[in-house]
Amino acid sequence: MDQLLLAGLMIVALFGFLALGLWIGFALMGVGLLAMAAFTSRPVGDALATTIWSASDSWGLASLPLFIWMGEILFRSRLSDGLFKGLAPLMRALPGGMIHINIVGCATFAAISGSSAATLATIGKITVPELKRRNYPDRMAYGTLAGASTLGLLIPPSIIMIVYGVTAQVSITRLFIAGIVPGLMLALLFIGFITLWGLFAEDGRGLREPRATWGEKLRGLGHLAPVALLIVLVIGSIYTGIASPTEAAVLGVMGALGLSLAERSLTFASFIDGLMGAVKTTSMIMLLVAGSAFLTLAMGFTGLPRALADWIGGMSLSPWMLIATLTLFYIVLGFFLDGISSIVLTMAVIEPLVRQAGIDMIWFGIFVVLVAEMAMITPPVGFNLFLVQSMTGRDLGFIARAAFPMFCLMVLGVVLLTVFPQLALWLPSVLLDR
Amino acid sequence: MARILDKTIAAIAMVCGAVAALTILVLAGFVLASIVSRLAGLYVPGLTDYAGYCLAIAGAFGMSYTFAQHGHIRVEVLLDRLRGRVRFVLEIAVLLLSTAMAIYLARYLILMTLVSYDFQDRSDGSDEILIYVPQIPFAAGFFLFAVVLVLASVRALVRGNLTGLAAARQTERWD
Repeated sequence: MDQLLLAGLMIVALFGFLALGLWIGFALMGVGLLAMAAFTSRPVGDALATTIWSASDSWGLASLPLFIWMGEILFRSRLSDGLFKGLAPLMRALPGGMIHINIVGCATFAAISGSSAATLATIGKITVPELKRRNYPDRMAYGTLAGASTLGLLIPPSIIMIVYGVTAQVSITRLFIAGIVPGLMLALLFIGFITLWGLFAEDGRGLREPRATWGEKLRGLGHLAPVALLIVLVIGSIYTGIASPTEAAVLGVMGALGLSLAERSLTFASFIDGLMGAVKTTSMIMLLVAGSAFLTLAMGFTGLPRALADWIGGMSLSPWMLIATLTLFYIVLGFFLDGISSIVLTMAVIEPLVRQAGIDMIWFGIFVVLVAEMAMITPPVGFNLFLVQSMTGRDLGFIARAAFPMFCLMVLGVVLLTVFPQLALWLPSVLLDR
Repeated sequence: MARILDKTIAAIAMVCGAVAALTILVLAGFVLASIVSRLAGLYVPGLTDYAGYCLAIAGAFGMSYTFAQHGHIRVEVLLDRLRGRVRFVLEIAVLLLSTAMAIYLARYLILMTLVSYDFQDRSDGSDEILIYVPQIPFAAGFFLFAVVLVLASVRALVRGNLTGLAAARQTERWD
């Protein structure tokens, strides 16, 4: 009873802090402080300091600022132009036409960028005006952009996977490899949806682009070469085991800088802008990581996660029920939080529960990243919706409705991932357990 | 008074941001060195540990810069519905609470560093350096974060409005 009451108080405190608008990292820290003060006589401040120091001083997380910086450099380069020029001749004859560039462009850029914000900003900056100019309906153009850019989380490299891997103590390399098939699957679902729209919807049927000649297609491939090179450099070096994710990140930064130099888009000002952008996002995430690490420690003292794991274990839920419940839970959190926040917020309690249920932590990582993707496009708080809003000036409600089909496809993705766990687990087992 | 505070906050944030940016460059240098040294068949102990310290230090110094850039994320659904006096009082309460937490955190990080110094603790990694060496800038970054928050609290109270805070903008964007 006592424990139940205290658990209730913790949850009230957490949601109170969050609702008040305390920074999420500090809200986690604050609940941790309350929990430790209530449950132990150990010196709280010392535990806080050492936990935050050891959570921040981390080789695994050292790739964070590098991947973020790489995205910032590429956002400021002319890479998105090249991507558009390369993909347009290849995709435009398909039913649904150039809308497909949103999907394939985002999926491609996701393979060199760790965040969905960078993916959205980079691809959107070219597709939003181009699709507008060609009279594609806003609903399809903006909805698919908001949805597909979340692939930045699932297709490696991925900042959210780095944070999950460090929090749940699983291999980041393995997560990166596990994300690729589900990422491609999701991209295919989006492509299928657009194709159906192009074939059957009234406004979709009306839009037919001329087929590109072979010459145009070949020239297009030339435009794609720099992107392909970067993908090989970053993901290739991880997959072949030549580089750890952190090392691959620095190769990516060098590659991105080299590319910007070669196309003469790198100026001193853009270099500094990109680096300062990386500082901003890195510190934002490090405050979350610090708060989450301390909350995890404090929760350990309370015994709540164990009690919850035992309680759920005692209900002998089928794994299906458990996953369905967790999906719902994360979707609700996603209305108010972004993906990384909802992961760091819940891992202290969810991780023991999931381990106890015998769920593979790599599979769970992919699952949780997929549900985190949904969080980016669910109102009232969805960062991708905000970004599309600021790029296009349309209101949030319109963009949220436009992105709703993508949300449904992601739910379908979760179902497929649950029915066929091998989607996530097959590739790592082939590549790493030889 | 508020003008001086504006300038001081901006100056500290800018200097801290510059330190963080340099630290990220150094971090990249260490990671690059670890690749190159391995290709060259050399073993240089501690490179990965140094990169870890750089991350910690960059994160710590970036705190004030990120604050000044409205980069720290929070939930604003509820706050955005409030206006006028209620909003102001609530925002101030949250700012004061954050400031108190930042001071508390900075205080214990400084104590931790002093303890490491007293015991001359060494890192458990292959670098085996005295651990207070990276802990000093880490604690300093959070100390300056606390200073900036104190100044921002004073500024908001003196002015009686939220100018310069994330709340003064319509809705926070993260890019």
